[in-house]
Amino acid sequence: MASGDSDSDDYYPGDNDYQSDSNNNYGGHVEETEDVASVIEQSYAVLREGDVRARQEEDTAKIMEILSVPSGFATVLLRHYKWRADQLQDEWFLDDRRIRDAVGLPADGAVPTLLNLRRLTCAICFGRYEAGGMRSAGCSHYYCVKCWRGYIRAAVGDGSRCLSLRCPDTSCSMAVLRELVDAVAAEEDKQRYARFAFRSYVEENPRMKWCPGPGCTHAVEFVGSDDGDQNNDVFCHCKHGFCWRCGEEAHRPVSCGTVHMWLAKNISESETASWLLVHTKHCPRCRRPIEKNHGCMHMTCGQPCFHEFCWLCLQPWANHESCARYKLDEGTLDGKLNKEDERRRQAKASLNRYLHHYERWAANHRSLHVVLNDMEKLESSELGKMADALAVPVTELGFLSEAYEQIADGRRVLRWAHAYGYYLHPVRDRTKRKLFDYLQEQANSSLERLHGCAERERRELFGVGDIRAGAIDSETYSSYREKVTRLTKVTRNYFENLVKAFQTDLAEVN
Amino acid sequence: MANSNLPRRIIKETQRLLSEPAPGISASPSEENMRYFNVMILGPAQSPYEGGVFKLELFLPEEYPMAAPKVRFLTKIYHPNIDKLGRICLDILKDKWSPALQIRTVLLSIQALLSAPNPDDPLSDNIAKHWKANEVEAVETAKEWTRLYASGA
Ligand SMILES: [Zn+2]
Ligand SMILES: [Zn+2]
Ligand SMILES: [Zn+2]
Ligand SMILES: [Zn+2]
Repeated sequence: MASGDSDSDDYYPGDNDYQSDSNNNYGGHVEETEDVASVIEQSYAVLREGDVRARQEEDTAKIMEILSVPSGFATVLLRHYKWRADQLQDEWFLDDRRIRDAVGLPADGAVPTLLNLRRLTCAICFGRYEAGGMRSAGCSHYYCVKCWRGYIRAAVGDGSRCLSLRCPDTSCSMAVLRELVDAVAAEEDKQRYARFAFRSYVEENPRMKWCPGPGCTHAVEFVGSDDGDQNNDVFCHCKHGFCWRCGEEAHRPVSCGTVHMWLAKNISESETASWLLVHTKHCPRCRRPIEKNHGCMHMTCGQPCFHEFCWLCLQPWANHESCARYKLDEGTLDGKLNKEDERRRQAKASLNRYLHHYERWAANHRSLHVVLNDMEKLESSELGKMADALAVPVTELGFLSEAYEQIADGRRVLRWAHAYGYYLHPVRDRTKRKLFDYLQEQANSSLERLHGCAERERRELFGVGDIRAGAIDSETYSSYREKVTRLTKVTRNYFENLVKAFQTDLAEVN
Repeated sequence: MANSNLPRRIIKETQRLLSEPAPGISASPSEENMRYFNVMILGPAQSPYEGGVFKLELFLPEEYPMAAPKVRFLTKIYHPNIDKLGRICLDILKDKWSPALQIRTVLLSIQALLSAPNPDDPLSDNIAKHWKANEVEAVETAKEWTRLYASGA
């Protein structure tokens, strides 16, 4: 990070009063927006299935030409080199004999499959076959087509191992190549083999991964360096974000280690935690059960109550200070308790602290998914309708997409920040905790404001579903636009501060 | 009965096993099911199993020879690569199986395994530990078990 000093002045609050600058004091650090995101984006590329196929064909064709080998040979060689064509070329011209031996390819001039020239017995079925009725993998071990078909079927049924298949003769290491498979295998086995061959381009290449997003068929190629503590989040076209290193959902700014520790904790606490999630909440004023089906935490009870409150802490929404901070129960630390009571109190406090973070971790996650859904709706239809109603081009409404991107990012960061927060020791990490609470509260309340503005206010202004032309006057619109844009900037800034702090003052201890 | 559609390969292999048995090995198909073989292997000379007669069962699954035969010791044996259910840890019975291998090659490999126990690739952890910690004592136990359970009486 370039400018540590001046930043830390910004987010270190005075000793006793955190709230002093949280009252509508936006603008504060809006100016410096060194765009880190664009640097990260360049370290990976999202590839569609067709792109992956084209790349694989291109690499294979290049090797076929440069090494003058048939296609199946090129594939086996590339796989051996984890699809690094350059390295293969370099080493091939130094010592192709060694590479041929390692992958089971015959000497120069050999072919992927041969037919028998005289009557022979198949060593698998013991049947006798005339010349031309049997095949080999280029070696002298001929088997009948029916046995080859069974051999390949069994291998394909075993998964991607079929790509490394060798001659059935146990003393022979000749590779069984795609050409032989295509010549003898049943149609469905050929297809399954082709599928494995295609997928190997991503699965065996250490720089590529399939996007784990549900139903997604894209691949991500990572070209940056994934060592060190750098953020390795990548975002697919399908909007799924995941950590390049551990495959878990995107978890910037928290380390893979903390994430996995936290997920393991959740599994061991799953009984308590799932009770928390199914447990219905009630309106704190009228006690009516409340269901949450939108993204932000601002709840409004139905008529006639209309009570507005925070989903997480159940405090009234108005003047509601951020509830992200866990309030330590320090009142009883006066040494009057006996050992047993003290132990019980600590266990209870520890559970409460866990549940506090868990609930916020889970709520931000659910909220993230609502946001991603809303974004999808926004981009597929709502923006168009709004643009029509306002008689402006859709591009004019780009500020809303930006706002939603920021909300999604904020939900992600807050979610994982809560996992981190749980591991801050209430006493030992007191200083870190103070800073963390402060930064997180700032980010959190700004995010809630932005989220409310993008979600609730937008619906109030434009109506739900049916958006009428002229329903909104240009003055209202431009002040709405100005507000969303400003809140987006402010929120981005708070989150950048929070994220930056993770690399400096909040650095995790392994 | 399962014997009606027996592949030519199984018939041929069976004929050869009966007419030219490998030294120290006998395998004969059961009368009810030609895919089920009663096997006997003599403990190899100079091994802790010398003098023992070990009974095994061998079954050829429907997919044979594309899938390996299933083999199991019926006689109790103290060996680091054989567990107490008689299951055998041998690569050609698993991922190294090839349809070019035969019942005969499998049984010869099992016989060789009796001559050369491999405690580094164990199926039975306790026996393997014993073997590594005190080979002399483990071999004594193996001999003792051979006398007790495989005396062939
Ligand atoms: Zn061969
Ligand atoms: Zn055949
Ligand atoms: Zn995706
Ligand atoms: Zn990770």
